[in-house]
Amino acid sequence: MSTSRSERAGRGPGGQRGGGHRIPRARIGEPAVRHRLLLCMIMVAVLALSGRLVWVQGLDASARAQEAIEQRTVTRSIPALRGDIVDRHGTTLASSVQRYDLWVNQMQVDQYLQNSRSAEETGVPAAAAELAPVLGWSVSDTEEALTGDRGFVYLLKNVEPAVRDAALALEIPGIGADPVADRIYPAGSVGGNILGFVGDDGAALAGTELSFDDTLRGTDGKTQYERGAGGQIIPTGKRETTDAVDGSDLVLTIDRDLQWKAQQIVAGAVEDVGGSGGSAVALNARTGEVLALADYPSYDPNDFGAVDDEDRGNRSISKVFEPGSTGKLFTIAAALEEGTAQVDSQYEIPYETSFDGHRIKDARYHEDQRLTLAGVLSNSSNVGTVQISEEMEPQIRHDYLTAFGLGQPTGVGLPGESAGIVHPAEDWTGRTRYTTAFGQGYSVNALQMTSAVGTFANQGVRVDPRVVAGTREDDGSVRPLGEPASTRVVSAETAETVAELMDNNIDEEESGAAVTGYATAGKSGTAQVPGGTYTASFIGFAPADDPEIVVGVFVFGLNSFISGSRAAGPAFSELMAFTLQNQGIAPTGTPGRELENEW
Amino acid sequence: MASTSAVRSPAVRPLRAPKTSAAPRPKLTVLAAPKTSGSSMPFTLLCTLIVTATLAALLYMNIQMSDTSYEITRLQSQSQRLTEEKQALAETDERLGTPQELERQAREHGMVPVSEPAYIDLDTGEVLGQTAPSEQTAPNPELAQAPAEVAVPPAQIYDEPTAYHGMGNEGA
Repeated sequence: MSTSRSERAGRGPGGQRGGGHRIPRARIGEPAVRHRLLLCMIMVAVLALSGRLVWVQGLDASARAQEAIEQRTVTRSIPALRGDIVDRHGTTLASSVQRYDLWVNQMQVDQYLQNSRSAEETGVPAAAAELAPVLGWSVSDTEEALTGDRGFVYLLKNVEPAVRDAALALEIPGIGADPVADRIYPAGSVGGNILGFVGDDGAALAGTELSFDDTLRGTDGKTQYERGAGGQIIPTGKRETTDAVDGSDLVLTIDRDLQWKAQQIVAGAVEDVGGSGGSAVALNARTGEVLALADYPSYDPNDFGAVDDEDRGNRSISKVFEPGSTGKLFTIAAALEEGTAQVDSQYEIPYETSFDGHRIKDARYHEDQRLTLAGVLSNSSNVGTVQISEEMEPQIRHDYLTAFGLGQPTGVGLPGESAGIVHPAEDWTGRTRYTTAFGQGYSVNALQMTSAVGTFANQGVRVDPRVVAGTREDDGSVRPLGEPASTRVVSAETAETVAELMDNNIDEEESGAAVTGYATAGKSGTAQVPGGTYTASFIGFAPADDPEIVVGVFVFGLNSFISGSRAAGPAFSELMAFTLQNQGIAPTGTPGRELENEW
Repeated sequence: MASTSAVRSPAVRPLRAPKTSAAPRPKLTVLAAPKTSGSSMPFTLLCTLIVTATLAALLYMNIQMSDTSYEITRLQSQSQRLTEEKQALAETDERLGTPQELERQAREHGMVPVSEPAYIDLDTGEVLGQTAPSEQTAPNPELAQAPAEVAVPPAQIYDEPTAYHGMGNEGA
């Protein structure tokens, strides 16, 4: 055998060389080798398969099982409910409600009533006809919204549950609804400026919604469960729930009815004299609680997009202006406290005079007058006030203004506050040294100014104003957020004297600011704004002999000089009368005081 | 080296007693039939019963659990529906309680704001202040009566879709 093989091997090439077409002789196979090879391959395959089997069944089993569990496990976020905002009596001003976003898969609407034999119309036109009344749309609008090839289009956002139920009850293919939380403000623009608003994504954007977001927001929870085909919870499955922590309810110091009235009154006052805007503030003199903080124009937080940005804030704290004659109160209080003047101190007042080369004159022309301190305030004499102020160093007067809270934010708990500007006394050069005596040369905001005047109504102690009383506990009680800071600015005697002077200032018969039945203390002010317009204001408190309520009314953007008692006085009177009624404060029966104005 | 061969004793046949006819017959007495081990049927039945009962109980519990599960789902959706109903009623309540709505309704009833209230001192019975009947209460002439819709319009939630005629178009 071996011989014949070598023979063939030797001959092979020779034969080819010879040009013959000889088929190479088939080699004889070696079954044993093949057999082994095949066996090896089978072994490898079996090994691989069994390896995989062991891997899947043994080592990897938990991972596979886990995958299956994951497929039927659903995780749902439990949204924390945003806390309500309520007024001082617990009336809801802002609350979160369940709404739905209706959407459509336009590609599926065609199938509507496709299998119905009795339907005259099918598909989109039929669906549109059914759906239109539910959405409150016209049939053609609805048809347009349902037509197309988009898989997901919002039809209507923030619909009430009843509307969603009605829409889904039609069983139009492709129509669905997603739950969303919406924020509603039942009273609309009443207190809108204080409440602020939240955006479509639930983020707080303004007002107490923003400044107390941490309190209101709460923490979302989640629940995980295994779900059957019908959506029901599989009882033996694993369940894990982290409860949501709902936000706390916020209690404001505002009285909703009073706020509403204040907004109407300030709107009336602004429209009456043709101003560009106005503010009205009502405070509790003793606690600093803001009962009403009205702005005009204001906005409805349900529809905040409808107004300009500038009307979405709080004019009462963001707009700064020179107070004008109401600032004379601080000069007189400082003089009384420092002992440089008494109620019956006598001054000779010309219409116009020059202080160190700076001409100061009164608002209206008059012959030379002989006025007491009471008369200076009653006549609102600039010259007289400068005479009184000149007996004190500018630094002392500056320190009093600061002590009254001017030039610093009130910390009332609302975003966007401007502190106003009170320049340091060494910068009171030139005219400023004199104008600061009668409320010009520094700037304030409406709330700050009302709170500062409120010092005289609270025995010389200034209490920081606040709009938030605290958070509401489960049992309905209010947990205060902390005591408001209070500062003694002048002695109780000085405060009492200033109150008498302010009481004397309002002539019961003639002044539009008088409140029938109550002795009222007040002071008007008008100041020119650099742009050429005027700001008129009236700030006062009642009952004058036992003050409880401080009210300030401010009208901005007057095109001509209108006195504070004319532009803001009637609104002050109306608001004060309503506030006293609303807060149940009876007249004390003490008549208003008359002091000697002249000598 | 221990010997492994055992020394066997020759097998001994037990001796049989020689038959003697003279020996007396043993005395036979009537005995009760001995107790047999009895049938295994009851035990089998018991086991079957236990197994069946266990299976039945298990089945029953499973049915109960899934029943309860469906019940929970049903109650949850009922709770959701009732919550929504409560919310809708609360919203209506809030809307009717707003100052704007109250004022409108009060005016419809012919009521006017009081301008000069009188107070009664409960201690002395004294009346503080003088009030006037409604027709004599004039609005403050110095204050423009801004139309309420301008000053403080109703909230923009309730009257939003102006062309909305109710769900069945019943208001159209």
